[in-house]
Amino acid sequence: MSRVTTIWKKELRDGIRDRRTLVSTIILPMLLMPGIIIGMGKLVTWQISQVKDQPVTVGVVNASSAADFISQLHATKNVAVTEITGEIQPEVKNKKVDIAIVFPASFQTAIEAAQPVQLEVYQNSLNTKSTTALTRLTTVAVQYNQTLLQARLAKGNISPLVQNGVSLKTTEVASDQEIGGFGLSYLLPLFIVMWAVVGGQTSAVDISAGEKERKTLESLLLTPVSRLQIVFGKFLAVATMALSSEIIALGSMYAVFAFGGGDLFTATASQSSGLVQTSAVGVNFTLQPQAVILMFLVSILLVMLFSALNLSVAIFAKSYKEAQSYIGPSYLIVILPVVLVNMLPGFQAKLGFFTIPIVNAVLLFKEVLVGVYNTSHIVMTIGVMIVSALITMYIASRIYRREGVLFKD
Amino acid sequence: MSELIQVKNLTKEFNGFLAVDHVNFSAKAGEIFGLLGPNGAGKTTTLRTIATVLAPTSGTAVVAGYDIVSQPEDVRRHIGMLTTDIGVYERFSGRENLYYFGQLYGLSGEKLEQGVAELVQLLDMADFIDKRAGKYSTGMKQKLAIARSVIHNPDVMIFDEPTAGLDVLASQTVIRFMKKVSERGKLVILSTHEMTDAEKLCDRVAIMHQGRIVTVDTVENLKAKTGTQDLEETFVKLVHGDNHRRPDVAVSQKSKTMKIKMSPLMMAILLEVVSILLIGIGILGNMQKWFSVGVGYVFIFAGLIPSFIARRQLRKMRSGPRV
Repeated sequence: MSRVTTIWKKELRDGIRDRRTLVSTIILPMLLMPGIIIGMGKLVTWQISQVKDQPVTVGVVNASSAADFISQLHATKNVAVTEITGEIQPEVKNKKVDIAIVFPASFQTAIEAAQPVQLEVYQNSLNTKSTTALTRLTTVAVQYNQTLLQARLAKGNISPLVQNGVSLKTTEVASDQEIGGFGLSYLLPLFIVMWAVVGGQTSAVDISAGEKERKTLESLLLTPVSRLQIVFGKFLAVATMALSSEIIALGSMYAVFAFGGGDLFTATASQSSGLVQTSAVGVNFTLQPQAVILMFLVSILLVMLFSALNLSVAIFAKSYKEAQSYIGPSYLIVILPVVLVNMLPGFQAKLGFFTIPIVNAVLLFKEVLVGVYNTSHIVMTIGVMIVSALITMYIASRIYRREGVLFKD
Repeated sequence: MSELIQVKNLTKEFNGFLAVDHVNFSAKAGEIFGLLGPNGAGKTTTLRTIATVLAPTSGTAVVAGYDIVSQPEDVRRHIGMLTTDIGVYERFSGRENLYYFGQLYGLSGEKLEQGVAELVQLLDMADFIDKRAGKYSTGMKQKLAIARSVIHNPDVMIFDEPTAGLDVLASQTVIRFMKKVSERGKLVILSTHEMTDAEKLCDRVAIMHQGRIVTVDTVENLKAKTGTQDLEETFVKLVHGDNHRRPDVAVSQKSKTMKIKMSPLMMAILLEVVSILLIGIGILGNMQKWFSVGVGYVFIFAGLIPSFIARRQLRKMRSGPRV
C-alpha cells in the first residue's frame, strides 16, 4: 500500500505543478460556476430590461376614427404612434413600423352602438420588436375593453361585479424550499455529473498518455511495483483531482447562491440546526443533512467510475493531444443520456432505470432534492454504482497489463 | 564468480513477428557483458523481456536466482535498467526524481539519502541535482536516468544504448560509471551498436542479429576465430554470414510491415461495446409499453453473442505469464 501512496502523492504533486491540470481542476471550476450563475443572472436581467424598455413604433390607419384608443396607446410607455397613409404591409415588412393596426372608419359609431369591432393587425415575426409591440397592443386593447365595459354597465345601472361569475383561489401545498429543490433538481445533477467527468480528465490524460509521451512510463514499469499498484495509485490521484474539482465547483456554486450573485440572486443565507438553507430570488431550497451525505457518497462513486474510465481511455493514446481527441467524444457519450433524462418533464423512473449506471445517480439526486427517499432506489443506485466502479477499475488494470497498449510505438 | 543471468530459449513474438528467437546466454557477477547488434536485431526486446517489462512468448530467464516468468517483481528488485528513452519527470528536481524511484524500490530514510548522495557524487551531478529536470541538457538527463535506474543498488545493471546522443565528456562519465560498478562485483549488460565502446569495455559479447544470438565469446576469441583486427570487422563478418543463412527472418519482417490488422484487444472492446448497447436496448425496451417484450429479449440474446466472442478473444490473448 505504501507504494500506491507514493505514486498517488507523486501524481498529485505533479498535477499541482502542471499549469494545465491546475487550471482545469481548480481554477476553472472555482471561476466557471460563479461565472455561469452570475453571468446567466445578469444576462436574463439585462434581457428582461431590454425587452421592457425597448421602444416600439405602432403604425395606425384611420387614427382619427379611434381617438380614445389612440390616446390610451399614446399613454403607454415606450410606444410611439405614427400614422400610415400608404400601403401597410411594406411598412411593417421594412421595419418602418413594428406593428400596424387598422381602425375601420365606422369604429366610433360601432363602439357607441355596442357592436363588436374587429381590428386588423399586421405583424412581422422576423422582427423581435414586432412581438413586443403586439404584447403592448394587446394590453392596451384589454384595458380599453375593460374601461368600455365598465362604462356600459354603469350606463345600465348594473354593478361591475356581474362580470365575475367564478373566481379561483389557489393554495400551494409545496413549501418554498421544496419548490426551490425542484428547480435545483434540473441544474445540480447535471453539474455534479459534468464535474465528475471533467474534473479528472486533464489529470488522467497527463498521467497516462502524458507519461507515455514524456517516455517515463517504462522506467516506472521497471520498478518492483505491480501494474495493479501503479494503476491504483494513478487512479487515486485522478479521483482525488476530480473530487476536489467537484467540491470546488459545487462550493463556489453554493457561495454564489448564499452570498449573492448579481441582480438575479439576492443574498440571504443562514445556517441553523444542521440545515443548509439558502434563499435567492427564484431559488429557495433546503438541503437536509442526509441528502447532502447521500449525494456526496454517490458523487464519490461517480468520480471513481469516471476516473477509471478516463484513465482507461487515455492510456490508449500515444500523446497528450491524441488522448484529448479520444476523451472528447467519450464525454459526449456519457453526458447526452444524462442531459436527456434530466430534462424530460414529468419523467417517472421505474426501478429498472436505477440499474443504469450514471443515469441512476441523476435520478436519485432529483428525488433527494425534492425530499423523496426511496430505499429501493437508494440501495439499487449505490449497489450498481459500486459494481460499475469496480468493473471499470478492473478493466483499467487489465488495460495497463497489455503490452500493445503500453508500448504502442 | 556466480552466474547472475541465465537466459534459456527466450522467445518473444509480436502478432506473428518473431522479435527474439530462442535466445540463450548467461553472464556472471563482476562481468561487463555486451549485447551487440544492428538496429532492429532484437536487443531491446530481449532486455525488456529479461527486465520483465515484456512477457516472453516462450522460454525464460533467471536473474539473481529469480525466474522472470513466475517472480517478476523479485527480478525487478534485483535489476536496474537504463532504457533508450531517458524521459525524466520534468516538473520535479533531479533529487525529487531519485527520491521517488528510491521509494518505489522500497528505500527510505537514511538509506535512501545515502544512496542518493553517493550517486550524485559518482555521476558528478551536484551542480544541477536540485534544479528542475525540465531544464536539464541531454547529458544531465542521461546521468539522472542512470542514477534513477541504479538507486536500489541492484546486482544486475542493464544499459541500453547508454551513450547514444551524448557528447564525449558525458559518454566518458557513463563509461567510467559502468567500469566502476563492474569492479564492485555487479553484472553490467551493455547493449550497443558502438563497437569501439564495446571492444574497450566488454569482457564477453553476444552478437545478435535478426532476433537470434549468432555467437557468444570474448572479444579476443571472436577476433581470432574470424581472423579480423577489430570488433567492428568481426561483427560485420559474423552478421553478413548470418544474413545468408537466414532469409526466412527477412521475409517474416517484410510480411509484418505489409500486414495491417485491427488489434485483438480493440476488436474485443468493440464487441463488448456492441454487446452492452444491444443488451441495454433490450432491457430499456422491455420497460416500455410500446416495445414488444419478445423483441427486447431478441436484443438481449443478440447482445450476448458479441460478448461471448469478445470473452473468447480476451481469453486467447491472455497468454503468457503475469507481469
